[in-house]
Amino acid sequence: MNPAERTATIEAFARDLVAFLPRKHPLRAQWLAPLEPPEPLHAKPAAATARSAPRPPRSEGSITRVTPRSALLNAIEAARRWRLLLLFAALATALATAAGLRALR
Amino acid sequence: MTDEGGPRRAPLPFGPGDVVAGRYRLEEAIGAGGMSAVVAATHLLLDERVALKFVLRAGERAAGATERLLREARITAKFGSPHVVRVLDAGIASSGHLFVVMELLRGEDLRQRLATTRRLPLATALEYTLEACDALAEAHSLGVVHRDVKPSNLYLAARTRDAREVIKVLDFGVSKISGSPSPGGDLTGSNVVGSPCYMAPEQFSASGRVDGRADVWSLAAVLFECLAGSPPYRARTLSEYGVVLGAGQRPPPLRALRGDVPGRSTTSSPGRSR
Repeated sequence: MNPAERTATIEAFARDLVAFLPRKHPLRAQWLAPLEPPEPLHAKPAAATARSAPRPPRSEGSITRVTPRSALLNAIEAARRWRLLLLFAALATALATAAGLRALR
Repeated sequence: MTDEGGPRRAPLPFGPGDVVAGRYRLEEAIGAGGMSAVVAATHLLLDERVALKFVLRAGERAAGATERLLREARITAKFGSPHVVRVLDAGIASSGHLFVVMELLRGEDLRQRLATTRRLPLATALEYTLEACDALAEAHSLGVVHRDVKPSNLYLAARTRDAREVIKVLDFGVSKISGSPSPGGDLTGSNVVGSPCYMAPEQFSASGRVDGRADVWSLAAVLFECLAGSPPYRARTLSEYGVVLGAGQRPPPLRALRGDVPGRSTTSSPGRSR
């Protein structure tokens, strides 16, 4: 009954509930993905000093979440780029060889 | 969008065919309570059907209700969740009545649904609850606590594109914004804000200081009712509910009432942490 002993947030409650849904249910992905909270309604506008403060580079302190699916898609994309590059190189070599042979004749 | 309690209802100041604010042609009334009424209308320029919520009185006599409706509209307009009814416009009619324009919902509320079906399939109950969680999570992140989550404030709206039902959380009129004073009006005539059977215990003693855990409790009580067919704690009045909670009774185990509920359920007691 004591609030301190109960589920602390609505997100925690939702995450408890999605465990009962099938693995591929879209609501699972929604609740298990990280959430970034917006500014509270009562928050005052940021002070000028805070607005003018330099932002850290995006790589500093930011966490990039890599899921198995996104990693696989990245790998496929990289492989596709390399395959195109190799094809282009092979074509260039063949053309150069043909041009060289023609010059020798 | 919901009925509101009140001693006596003032007549609706407009009728079908009347045009409000030069652009909303009123059609039929779709809901009415003691202090407000909801009317279906068409935006004349956009040819779009909308819902207009009116405060039934004008001027000083309507100060409390007007403040509450305006507050609700301002809060609701901030949301981006698809599970909160969209506020499109607001204004004062030539008669002096405040009106708020909202998306027109088609469907029924969860109270009506449970009155006919009594219990919901497990997956459906979870989906509805999680959709309500989406709306409440956004509210909490904005510093807003709803404080009156109950089946009649969860609307099952039929989506236009595929007729799928989605939950819309209604009535942020008694919600609390952290860092700002709580609204003076309430649902019961006392300083307690909430509804029996769904209200968190701390709302009895400190309605103005509750946090998101109060909504977690209420939503868990709604989920319990969706699965078991009745809320975890039964009471007809707030004082009766207070006595039931004060006695420290535990609700009946959900699995005893509903065999298909998994054993590791969080809803054996509303909002209980594991």
